Amino acid sequence: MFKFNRNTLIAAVLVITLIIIVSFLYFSDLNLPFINWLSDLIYNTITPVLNLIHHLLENIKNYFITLFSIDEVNQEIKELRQKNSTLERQILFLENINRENKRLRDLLGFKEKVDYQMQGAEVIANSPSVWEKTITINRGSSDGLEKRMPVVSYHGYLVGRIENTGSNSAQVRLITDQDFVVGGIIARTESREIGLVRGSGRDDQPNIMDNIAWDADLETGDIILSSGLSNNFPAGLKIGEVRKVETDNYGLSQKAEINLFISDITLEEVMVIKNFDSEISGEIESEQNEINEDSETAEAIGEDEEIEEN
Amino acid sequence: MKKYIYNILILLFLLICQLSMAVIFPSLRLIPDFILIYIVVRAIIYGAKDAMIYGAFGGLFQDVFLTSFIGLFTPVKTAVAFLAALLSGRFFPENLLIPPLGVFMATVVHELLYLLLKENYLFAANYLVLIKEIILPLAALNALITFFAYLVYFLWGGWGISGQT
Repeated sequence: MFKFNRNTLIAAVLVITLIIIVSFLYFSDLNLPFINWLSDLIYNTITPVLNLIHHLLENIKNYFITLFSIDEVNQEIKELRQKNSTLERQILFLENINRENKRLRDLLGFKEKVDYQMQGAEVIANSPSVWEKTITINRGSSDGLEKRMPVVSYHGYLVGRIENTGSNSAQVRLITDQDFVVGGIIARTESREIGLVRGSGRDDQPNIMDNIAWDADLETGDIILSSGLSNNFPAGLKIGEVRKVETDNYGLSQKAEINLFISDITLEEVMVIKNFDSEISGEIESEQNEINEDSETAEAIGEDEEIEEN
Repeated sequence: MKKYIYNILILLFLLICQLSMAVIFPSLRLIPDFILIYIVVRAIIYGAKDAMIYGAFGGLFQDVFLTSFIGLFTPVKTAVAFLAALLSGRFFPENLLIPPLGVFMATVVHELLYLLLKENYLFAANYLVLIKEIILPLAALNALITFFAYLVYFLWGGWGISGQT
């Protein structure tokens, strides 16, 4: 059928040699400075072009949106101005509450919850492969971003973590990627069960939360938050909602299908948490658990008293 | 040298198109692999040596956007370019169906090779489901794009009977 001439055989040998060398470099995880330099060079050359294209397209899109919906835009401006004045009043009210909250925290000796230092970023590129769920954002090491920083959406949903940084851009591995694992916790007062949320590798498939205890109290509709136990992510970031619960490992554990919150939104802008401190986050989580436990105990005592009275 | 720079620039342009596709059209479920299409068509027209060089470059560019410089795309794309080159010089240029068919088969081989080399997919993946739901639709999409791209290329007269531009 196919006649392999001398050139084809040489090419075949070259392919096999190249595959062996590349596989060796890939699997041995060698850190060669020249390769890193070349990689950074290509990456930092392409990403400004992507950024430029993104801005150009956004400008064109915005121009036409404004052109064809000028009445709606005017109406929206009116509504937003009204909303703005309402929000300003609310800010004043919240400032009072914040002061009171701070005073009460001091009285009770609770540690103050530190606000995360966030860096907003725009998504400028998607993954070049269907099997890898990554995005590229237009902020990089020059903006203080580092590897493994958590990335959230503007709604506070966990999006992923930074995998690699260039000078003006960074790659984010999404929560849907098969390589992505994060500790999850059920956000219900009666159930604080933990498990591992794993990416399905597909946008149209739910993530799986496994390693859940066989007797864990888990229901459809339960909200899953990041547990913060791994120290890689702060506690309390919204991940998704339980869709289905089933037994796993022949009944030794349970697993649940999780509908991710980020599946319902279009990822155009994200926020990177820059100063997340796992210890503070963990302490706040344990404080919250203590409060929950106290309130549960108080409720239980109340119920017992009621029964005794009856 | 000029030829190589010109083709590498084309590869970079295709990579940018590929990366921007999902940002411009967020509801797209499958993103066509423009680099693979280009490499396979080049392999069919010009043979193994030429295609393997651009296969390696295309793979490297894709790998740069997947965290490591040398990743799985470099060997996989080079190998697929070599396999596609086996079709080189075995059909008439008027036969518009061979390049799409070649791209269809190359996409299937490319994705399967990638899955087999990817550690976390190798034993965990349900291959039948992935073939049915991702690989075959992607191969069909790539083949369709190739058909129109090759048609334009052919009608434009970019390819002489000898296979040289």
